[in-house]
Amino acid sequence: MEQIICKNLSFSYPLSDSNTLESINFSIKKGEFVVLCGKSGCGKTTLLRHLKKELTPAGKRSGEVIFNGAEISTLGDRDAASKIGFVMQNPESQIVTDKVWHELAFGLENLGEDTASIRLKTAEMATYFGMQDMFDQKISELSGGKKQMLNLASVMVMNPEIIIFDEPTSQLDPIAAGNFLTAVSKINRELGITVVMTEHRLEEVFSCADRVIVMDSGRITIDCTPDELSEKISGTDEFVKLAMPASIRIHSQLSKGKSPLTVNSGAKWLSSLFEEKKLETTRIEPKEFEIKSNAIEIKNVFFRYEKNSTDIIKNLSLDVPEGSIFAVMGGNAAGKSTLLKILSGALKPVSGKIKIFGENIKKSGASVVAMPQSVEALFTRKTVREELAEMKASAEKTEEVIILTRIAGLLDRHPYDVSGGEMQRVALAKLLLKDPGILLLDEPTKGMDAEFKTVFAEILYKLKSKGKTVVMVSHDIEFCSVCADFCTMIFDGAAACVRDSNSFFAGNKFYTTSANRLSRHIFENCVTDKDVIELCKKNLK
Amino acid sequence: MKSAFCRCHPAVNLIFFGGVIVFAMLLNHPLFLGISMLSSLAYAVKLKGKPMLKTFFLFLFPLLIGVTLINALTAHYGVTKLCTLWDGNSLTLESIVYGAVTGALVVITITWFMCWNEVVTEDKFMHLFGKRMPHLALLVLMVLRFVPLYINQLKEVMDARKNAGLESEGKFAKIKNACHAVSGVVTWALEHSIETADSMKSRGYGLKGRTSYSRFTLSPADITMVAAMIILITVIAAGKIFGSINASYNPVIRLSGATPLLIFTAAFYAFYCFLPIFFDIEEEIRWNRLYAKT
Amino acid sequence: MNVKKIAVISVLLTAALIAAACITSQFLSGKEFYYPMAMLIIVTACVPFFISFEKNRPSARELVVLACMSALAVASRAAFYALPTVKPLCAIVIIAAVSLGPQTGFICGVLSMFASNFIFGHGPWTVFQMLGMGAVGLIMGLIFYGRKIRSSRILLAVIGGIISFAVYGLIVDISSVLMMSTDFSLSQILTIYASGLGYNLSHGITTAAILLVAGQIFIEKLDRIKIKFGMF
Repeated sequence: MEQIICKNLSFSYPLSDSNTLESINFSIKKGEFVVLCGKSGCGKTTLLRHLKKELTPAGKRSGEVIFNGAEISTLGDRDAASKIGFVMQNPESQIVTDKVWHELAFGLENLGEDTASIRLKTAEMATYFGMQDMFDQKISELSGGKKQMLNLASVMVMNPEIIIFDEPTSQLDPIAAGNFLTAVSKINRELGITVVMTEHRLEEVFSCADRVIVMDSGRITIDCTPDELSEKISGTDEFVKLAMPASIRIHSQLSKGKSPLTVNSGAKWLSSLFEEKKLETTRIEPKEFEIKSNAIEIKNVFFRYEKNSTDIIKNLSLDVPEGSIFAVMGGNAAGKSTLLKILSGALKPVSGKIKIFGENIKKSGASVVAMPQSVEALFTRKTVREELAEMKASAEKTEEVIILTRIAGLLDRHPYDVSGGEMQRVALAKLLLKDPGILLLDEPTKGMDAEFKTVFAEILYKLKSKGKTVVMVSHDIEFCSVCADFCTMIFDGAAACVRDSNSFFAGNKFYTTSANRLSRHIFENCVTDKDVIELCKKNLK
Repeated sequence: MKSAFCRCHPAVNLIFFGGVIVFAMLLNHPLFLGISMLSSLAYAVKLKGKPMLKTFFLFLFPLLIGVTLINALTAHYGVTKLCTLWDGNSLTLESIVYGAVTGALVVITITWFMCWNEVVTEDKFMHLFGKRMPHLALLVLMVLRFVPLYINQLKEVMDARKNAGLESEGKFAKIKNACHAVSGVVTWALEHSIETADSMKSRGYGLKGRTSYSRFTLSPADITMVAAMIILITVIAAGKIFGSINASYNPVIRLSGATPLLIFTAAFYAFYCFLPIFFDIEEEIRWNRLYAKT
Repeated sequence: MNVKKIAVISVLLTAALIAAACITSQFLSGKEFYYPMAMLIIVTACVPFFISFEKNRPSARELVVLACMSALAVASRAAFYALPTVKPLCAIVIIAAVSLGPQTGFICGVLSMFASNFIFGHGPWTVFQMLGMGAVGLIMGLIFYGRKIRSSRILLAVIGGIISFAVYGLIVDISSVLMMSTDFSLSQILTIYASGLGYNLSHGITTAAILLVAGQIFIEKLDRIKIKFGMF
């Protein structure tokens, strides 16, 4: 049965002459898992909001949105609230009350349910999502992943038929994001709830999605199953290709037809490709990096937050070569962010030595700047221009940085009115005006789509070519593999090892890129798509 | 739990604290004030531990003295003149005693409120008033959610600015920097509120007939407590109305004597004021007995 | 319902209760009834505002902005805990009143005092503080909301300072008088008021200073959100 039908939906915002949505036609069956993707600013969010009566934006609209056989605007308020759920991007700002149990009850209170039925329903939901332990907790004590899970649960408790997700994992680390997507696919499979989702991380959702809809500047350009999409991928835009899982990306460069969707099937396909063939080159040589001197030298550093607490950083020693892009990886609470704070001078180590460009850390103040995880913390002014002016840099310097970070078009906008990826670049620009020798980045790719990531990587390359050192803490394996010269893993407060990124990821078994996992049984040292494609082409000739 | 009384239904807590505070104001006979002060301090020490003793000696006791002094020096009623002050007015015994009584009342009220703050948490408060005013109750909840969020964000902004090299030396520059940080937090808070509003609307906020959920249910122990408190309150009120407990300090100190009715009412009053402590003791005994058996 | 009507109802109700209290106090002996009665009167004064707020069923956006402003006020009181006379709370309530209206100002004042006492501890003074701050919000809203003088920096600061000194100080110190005075003679009342004068004065001055420095910037931010929300 068709649950949602969009017929010729067009929409434009007030004071805008172009249509944000242009004759959109699609239908969604009950129980389907639909992934919607497209560049940022292509109208994804606007479209999603048309599927939820309360959030439909004001503006000029034509065409129809039909939910369960009736136009969505004629749907009763009560049904509209309970039958269609909506989960947004930012886990923090969707939460209304201060305790977990109250947040779960919030929707039911609005529906006017009595105490007994709220008690039953919240109990059921808390049990289903495994939240019994945190039922009494204050929400401010939860991690981001838990908060987003709570947002899902407090929508689920209203018994929706369909849930709409607007980039639900973009603010989460990969592990929390994985857990969240697993929970979503579980409610889809087990409870038959329809899921409509926009998502950057196609790698994980691709295998559980029934359909993929691709949008470009307000229109639907592709609407098919993941299988079908993998066949016609070579004919699509660059951003669609970038967003695809590694197996599809590699396959589309080498052969035609149906692509493997997972790492496992990708590996099998690669084996079949070279069956009974003699391989000439099976190894890629790591990029050379000539170490002249070290930008940062950390020797035997210990750190703990309180006198009697356990050490967060234990006997950590690390050298960061000057002019390199250096990635620090590791799980949650491994001490990565603490290390960044120590390097930026915000925290002082209990013992050990840190030298920055050969000098003691205290003296080098201005040459190290750090970009916080949520860049909004850097914005205090009315326009981007004023934000930059705050740094008191010369006009030429400002001009140079604006060009480097590509924010010339944003100068007169309010910093909160630009998109997530743009915000990141404005923050970077602000920091670069200090002309730092060392740039510290905390999870810089959080919330960026694949296309923004390539732009961001290019900016980092340019900085590197100017001799700047970049240290980033990140969970983003794919990004680090492409971008970093050196990688290290922090575990239990100490750095496990420092290697060039190729040997680092090739040496790991799990904590490595999809391209590596799918090619490691044939090739050595292949970490990025490019590596795999290069070797395949060499051998296939 | 600091006290078994905390586990009681909010209505039980409300009746109890309402009772002790109103009685403290109405029964200004020294015996009754003494009972109330002793019980409030005892319970406050039980709830807050040793720091409460420090609070008493460093804040509450000086307060009592202060109120007594203000009264003694500014009020000049009374018949028992002790001496003449520098401004020609006389210092009277009545004004000192009445001042001390008033000071004691101030201390008692504050101490009972200290206990109230420990026992009646936000959740309990919301249970008591949320049913009548669901929107205001929600508003309070949202404020309680936002406050730690904003304080945390202020820390983030200060850190971010420090790490961006925006912190400058000098007192004036520091204040200016803090102002910018606060301004950043305000913008952040307001901008994010848009998403919160959307999230509320999408979960049906604004529908007619919003209810207010709370997790408290009346247990048999709660009902026993309510019944006991009603009986005690009735007896004490009857004692007051029938004139067994009178005290006036102006112009002459006149106190009800130790009549049987007064002693009787005082005993009931003491039982009422020590109720939470008795409740705790009862719970302790029961627990020990259970533990001993197994 | 119009906020002026509500205010009038509230004032009439309060006056009636005070009159009733004066009459009954002739029959009751002693001052021990004064404090409970004053608390009762104050709560009654707030009730018309609360009822009208509940009846209007505020929209999600109004509610969120109100919660946001009140939370900022509470957080500011918590942030300056060490300096008791620097209370940006009052300035924030005034800003909310000036840019969102007198009724919102009243609720914001009442709410931020109430909620902040969950951090600082409730006492018998809570109701007085609530009404006092609510009254500051109400009066500032009635003077400035939707008028041209709103954009005058100096007027806002001066009047804001005076109102927070006089109105808030007056109402809150009633609590101290009722608590501490025994004979309610003029000299005693004046002594108690005088003891609070320094505090009230510095409260008024800091409020004026904060409004002078940050008032307009803050109002601009709220205006931006109002446009984004399409509210009020």
